[in-house]
Amino acid sequence: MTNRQSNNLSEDFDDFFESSLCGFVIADGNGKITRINTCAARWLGTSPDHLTGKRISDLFSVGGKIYFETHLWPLLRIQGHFDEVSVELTDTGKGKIPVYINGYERRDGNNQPLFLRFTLFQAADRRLYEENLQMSKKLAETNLNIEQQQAVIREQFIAVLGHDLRNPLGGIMSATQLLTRSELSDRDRKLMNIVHSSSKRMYEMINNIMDLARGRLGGGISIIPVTVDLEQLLTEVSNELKVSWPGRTIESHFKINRLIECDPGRVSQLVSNLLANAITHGLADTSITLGAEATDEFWEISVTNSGQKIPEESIKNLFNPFHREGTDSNQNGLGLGLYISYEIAKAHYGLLSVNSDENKTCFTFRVSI
Amino acid sequence: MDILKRNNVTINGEGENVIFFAHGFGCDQNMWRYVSPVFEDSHTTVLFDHVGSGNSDLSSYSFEKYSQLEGYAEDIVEIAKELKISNAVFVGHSVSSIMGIIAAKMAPGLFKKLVLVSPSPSYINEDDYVGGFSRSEINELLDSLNDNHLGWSATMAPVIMGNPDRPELGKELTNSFCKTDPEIAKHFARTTFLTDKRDILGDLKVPVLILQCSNDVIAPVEVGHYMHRQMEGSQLVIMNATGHCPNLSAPHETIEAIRVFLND
Repeated sequence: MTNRQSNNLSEDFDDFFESSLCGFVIADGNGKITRINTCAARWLGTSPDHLTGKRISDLFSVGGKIYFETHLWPLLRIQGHFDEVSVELTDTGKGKIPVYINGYERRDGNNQPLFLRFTLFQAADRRLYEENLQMSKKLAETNLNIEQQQAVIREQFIAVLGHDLRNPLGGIMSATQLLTRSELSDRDRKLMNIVHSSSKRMYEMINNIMDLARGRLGGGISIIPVTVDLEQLLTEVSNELKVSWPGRTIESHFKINRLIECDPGRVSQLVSNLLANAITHGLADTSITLGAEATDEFWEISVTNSGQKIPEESIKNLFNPFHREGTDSNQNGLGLGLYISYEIAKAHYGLLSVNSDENKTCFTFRVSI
Repeated sequence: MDILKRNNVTINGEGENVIFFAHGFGCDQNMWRYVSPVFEDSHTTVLFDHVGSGNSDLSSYSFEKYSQLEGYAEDIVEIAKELKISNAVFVGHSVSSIMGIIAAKMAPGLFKKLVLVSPSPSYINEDDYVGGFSRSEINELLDSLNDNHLGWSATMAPVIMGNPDRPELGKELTNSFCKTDPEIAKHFARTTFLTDKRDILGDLKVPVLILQCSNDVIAPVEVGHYMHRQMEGSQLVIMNATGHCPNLSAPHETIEAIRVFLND
């Protein structure tokens, strides 16, 4: 009874070994094949008898053979197994069959190899799938590369354009300034003023474009911090704006009891942007509030205007370049002012934030110390 | 750059007598795990991983420097200088044997004896020279590596490559002993299998032992005989061990052969 059972089991095992859909190979401790199943032999276009006695690496293509001897054999000896390794069987005239191979080394009590077992799975479909994946990856990498190169060229173009536009404009501006000193008819003087103010606006726009290019290309706007009387700086900027917008009121609320470290040119630019924004977007008959506070822990500048709430979806993109709010007829810039202000705040290790409700909108530039 | 970290140098044993163990194309210093400990009683052993292999600093890998065996040989000389070692024994496996010869010529006095395990100066048959492979067979190997048709999935590589400062991440992977970044493996294979260094074998002033396995598909017996002929005064031992890695498959035979040579 026991005997018959074990006979049956042994028959079952033989059948399992031979008619399996994967290849089984058994080799002695030195790597010489002692048994190989029909499936593996069929893949190699021969019968098991012809393969017994050969070295296991003889089953593989040249690449696989070298790979086996230099990588897989050492692994068997070092860690006793390897798994999911892709190799190709030797070409028998019908092309090289890709397989996945797992290997295992059985050792005796002295850590000496007794025999080796290998399992081989045909991997043609999976190979095709992997090749497709690799092709897609390569294609995506190429496209990304092209995009990145184009982006760099675009931004370099902006930088060069800005720089080159400034020179002829400088000529126009100095000529205008000289002309205004001459005797002019009222009509000509008016026309001169238009040329002058338009040139100035254009000059600012070009500066903004160059700041954008600098911010995008050169890792942000750089600053040169010096010790500054913030109150004096803010008063100067506010007065300049009042000249440009004689009809508007700018109220100042300062609580500054010390000098601060900042780049005065850049901070003036930031405040000027915020004030011009507030004047453009605030209700015409209301005043703008320019606030500032400096303590031992922080210093901050805020600009508040009355007016409608900025819509939520606009807030998200407010500090992005070329952002323009709606189709407001007051718009005449490039939509770079807030982006550049934000970059200036960042360069000071500070933050520019906005708070907007139904009645008023407040921009705050805050630097924590 | 910390040279010892770059090459993941491991020092064991003690004493004035120093033995270098250099691994070949494929795995890392673990290749010597059954051989080098035996020498620790009487020697200081120096093991290392070539840059690009094992737990070396992958960020130090240079495709230009390591396109020639001289690049690897320079590293060996640098390690020895860093450790203030001279008059040492060099044991190199496979392609490292040739690196050892180059290093010995670069820095005379650095090595007093060379043990070359399964060496080959050139793997490609040419005229009367039997290297073991035809040129087209070697090209087939390089193509297979190029197309990622050999080895492990390429997606595993970034895990190791992206964390050169955390080599332990690489260690956790199975098969990690022989797992290299596919780009580096391809390049190392190219440097190894396309190199022809037959012209440097002569004129070496130090004693040489060549350990040649029987039935090695990578470096056939003819190669061992060729090296023996070219290297005047060298000793050739044809081992019973089969395959390409007697340091793993027949450590006792390897140890004995080295011992006899060292006591000469």
